[in-house]
Amino acid sequence: MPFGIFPHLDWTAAFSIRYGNLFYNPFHALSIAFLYGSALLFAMHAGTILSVTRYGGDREIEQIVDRGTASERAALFWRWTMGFNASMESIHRWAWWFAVLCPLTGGIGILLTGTVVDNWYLWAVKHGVAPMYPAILPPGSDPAMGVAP
Amino acid sequence: MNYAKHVITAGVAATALLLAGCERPPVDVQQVGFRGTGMEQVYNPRTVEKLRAANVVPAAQPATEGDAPLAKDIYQNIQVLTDLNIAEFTRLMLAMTEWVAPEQGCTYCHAGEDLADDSMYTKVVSRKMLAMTRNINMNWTQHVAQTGVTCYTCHRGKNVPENVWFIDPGPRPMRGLAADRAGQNAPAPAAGLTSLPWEAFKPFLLENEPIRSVSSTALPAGNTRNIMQTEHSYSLMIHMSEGLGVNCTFCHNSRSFSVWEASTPQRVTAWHGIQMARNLNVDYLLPLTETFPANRLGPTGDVAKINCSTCHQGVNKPLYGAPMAQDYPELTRIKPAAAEVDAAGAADTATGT
Repeated sequence: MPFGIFPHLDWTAAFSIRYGNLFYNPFHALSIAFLYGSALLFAMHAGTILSVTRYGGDREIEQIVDRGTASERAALFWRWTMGFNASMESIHRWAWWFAVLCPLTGGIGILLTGTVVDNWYLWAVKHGVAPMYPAILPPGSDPAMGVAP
Repeated sequence: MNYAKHVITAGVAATALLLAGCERPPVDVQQVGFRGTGMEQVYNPRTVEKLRAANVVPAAQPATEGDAPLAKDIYQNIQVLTDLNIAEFTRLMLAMTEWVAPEQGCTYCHAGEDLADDSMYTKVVSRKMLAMTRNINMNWTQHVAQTGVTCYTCHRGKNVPENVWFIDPGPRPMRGLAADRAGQNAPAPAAGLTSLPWEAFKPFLLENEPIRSVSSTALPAGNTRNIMQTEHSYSLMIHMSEGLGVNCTFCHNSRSFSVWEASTPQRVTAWHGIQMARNLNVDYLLPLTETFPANRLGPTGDVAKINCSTCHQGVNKPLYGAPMAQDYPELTRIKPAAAEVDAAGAADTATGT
């Protein structure tokens, strides 16, 4: 059982190997996208607040109920850099969904592993998700074929 | 102010301590597969330099010429090297002395004047090891190819090869709820100090436990292998990586560790290596348990055994593939006669599975 940091990491690697590489589990990919997305949103959120501090952006709650220049400038910053309008309310909704979906999709990926899918690489090959590459080395073949285990 | 200074000092010290565990860059990267697939080998040129220096083959003994009478007709008590003539026999004895007991000389194995005397355990062991070396060179070519092995491949001028393994009793047991570690979750010397099971060898290089855990079908079809069993295989794989000085991708394609068609040809060689190490341990080392004195046995009283490091010693081809055995046809060329096989107790194990 994985208790401790290193046992946990070793367990994670062994889990991925046992079930044929979680890299090919689409819910694993989604979970990572939400994880990194959460980190990015969190950092940009803090950066936005810092950059509009001189206009009172650090008093976020007051700005929400009583709009000042800080909230206007922060919204403009998001429209220009990210290409979508994030208000002082909506940015927190984005962050909330990213944070929630990270463990949610990850959990779905784990629950599907070993129950619905037993080898994610072969699953990805079967569904045309895993690209095939030209063979550089002569391919190996199972030396235990035909030999009693 | 003082406080900030302390924080900075502590921070610098902690960073230095953290980085001290890393190898210093730059390292060399060799691409071994299709671009962009991560099929690469990472070598530290400073480590390679040390390994090159440590893996130099000693000059071969001068070759023998002409015919001479068989050694067994002249000396007493020859059981394994029955097909060698007296010149070849003497040449091999000289080479063995240089390879295994350069300091002690002949008397490391031979008790005084009577060369036929078997009273020293070292002589009994070396007889078994000679039979083993011949068996490897003649019957395990799928692993050692035509390169072959000699005593030096493992011994390197030492009485006991530097890399052998014993059953690991594990760290001192704890009490209470943490008492049962289930054989893992403590730094495992055999498995590169990971928290994987510390007994990396016994299930695979002594017993014939299944090593394959990954399902061969996309959807579940009755594979009951659990994560702990997978971790056990993983332990041995870490040992192989360390013992051969290679990354996982030397044998495996990391996109699918199990699929043979995606793996490199080296994986097949390595597979035969695992079978070989197990067979040698069971057929040659285990029977010597009673022969060795207690100080040569492990903490649980077991005999020293072979793993990948015993020969490889950090290099993917031992001694960088120097075909040393070709200089010693005494160790490679002749199939032992039936009587000799019985004496060596190696009869039916040679071509094992």
